[in-house]
Amino acid sequence: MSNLFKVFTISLSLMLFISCSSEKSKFPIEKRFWDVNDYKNAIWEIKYNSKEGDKYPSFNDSENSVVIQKITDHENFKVVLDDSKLGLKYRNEIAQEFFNICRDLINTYEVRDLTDHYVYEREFIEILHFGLDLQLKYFKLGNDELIENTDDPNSQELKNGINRNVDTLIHNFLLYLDDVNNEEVLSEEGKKLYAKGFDLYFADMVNLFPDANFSPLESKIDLMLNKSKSDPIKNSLTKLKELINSKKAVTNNVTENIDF
Amino acid sequence: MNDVVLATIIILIYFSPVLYQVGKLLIEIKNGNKLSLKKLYSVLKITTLLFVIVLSFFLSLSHTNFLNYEGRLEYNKIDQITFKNFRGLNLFKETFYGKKEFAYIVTKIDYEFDGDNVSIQSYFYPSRSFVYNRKTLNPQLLTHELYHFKITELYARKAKKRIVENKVNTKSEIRKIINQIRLEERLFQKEYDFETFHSYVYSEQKKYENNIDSLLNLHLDYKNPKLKFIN
Repeated sequence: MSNLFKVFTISLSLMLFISCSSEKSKFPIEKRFWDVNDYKNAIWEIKYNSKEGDKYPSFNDSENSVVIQKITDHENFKVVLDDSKLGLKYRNEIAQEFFNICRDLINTYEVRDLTDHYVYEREFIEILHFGLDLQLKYFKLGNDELIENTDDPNSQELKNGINRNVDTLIHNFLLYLDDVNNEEVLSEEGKKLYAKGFDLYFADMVNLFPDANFSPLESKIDLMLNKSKSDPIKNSLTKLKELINSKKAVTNNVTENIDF
Repeated sequence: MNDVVLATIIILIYFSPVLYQVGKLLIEIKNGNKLSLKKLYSVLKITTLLFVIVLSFFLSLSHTNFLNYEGRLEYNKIDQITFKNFRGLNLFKETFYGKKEFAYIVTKIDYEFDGDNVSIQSYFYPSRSFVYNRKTLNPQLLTHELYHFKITELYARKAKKRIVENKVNTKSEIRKIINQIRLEERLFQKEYDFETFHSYVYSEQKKYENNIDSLLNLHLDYKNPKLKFIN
């Protein structure tokens, strides 16, 4: 009887070995581009299908770093939102879905420890950058759709609609600046990465909408420049302010030429 | 449950009579009972034979759905192909990159010698091609699959062009060219899937559609499957 038991034990061990050795990732990491469903599934896996105490996928985790790399890959939304062959309405719908996903990701990774430091600092900032870049596309597409659907491209109604959209975008970007208030919770590396957001996405926004009313942003930059003690952040904010001023100069020149 | 675990459990249950006999043998062999060994051998023979038969049946069915068979279709029928023609069974794969909406198409360049003629044609194999749902109304997915067929036709025409231009006059040379063309076609099919990411990258999909259509037009002189060659 003991031999019979041995046979079953060996079989069971073999089965468990096969099961363990062939465990597949819960995330479609081999997929070239993640669509909104992949994101939804990934967020669900991270939030609800992880064991208590399990760490979220992070850049330092050799096993799961590929997951956070996939999550923060901007190509995932660009491949659809930049595709001019696709309809504007469809791209806007996808942009809206990515926007919702991004908010969910921010909420997921905005975990702080007892000392208020971010547990997933790099991941959180990369997700914020993902969101900033996404919003540039999202609001641009929204404006393009407004233009496409209007009868009169010179109407005041259209101009007001576009301006409202750009104001909302600037307001959303201001939220990123709020973190300067708590910059002491960021590590030096975190501050550098955070400052990069101004160099890249804020600069893109100013270049994309040079005629927009950036006065709320300018006021906030002035306040944060006084408050910040971090050189990388201060340098990036100063550069951004200079860029806004340079756009103003161009606009003023254009006005002067017209008057002349 | 993990597919491998499930398969292992099924196989273990199926082979449980063999395992039982092995256990029995281990107990009784000490007493020099050779009857158990004979019984084990006969049980093993029957179960293995049955297993091979069942497995072969499912593997064949997975390769070609002979229960809902439709013969290969020539390229000139491409406009009539819908997902209803995708009759293959997908017994082992439920999703593709996590997606339940997927299809695959089997196409091939076939050739046949008839005296001084060789007929080189591209074919679509309905009973080997699969779609997750035959009633699907996803025209984008169908278009992507049909362009795989167009690629096969393009390479069939390229094969004929190469044969004519190189004045090939032996069967072995023709076979060599077709084998080479099949390899080139395979690479192009892979490139098409990669660049369009199976039709997800819409602008790339449109780019490939335009390119393939243009190339097919460029090779219009080689549309006729039959080609005369001198042996």
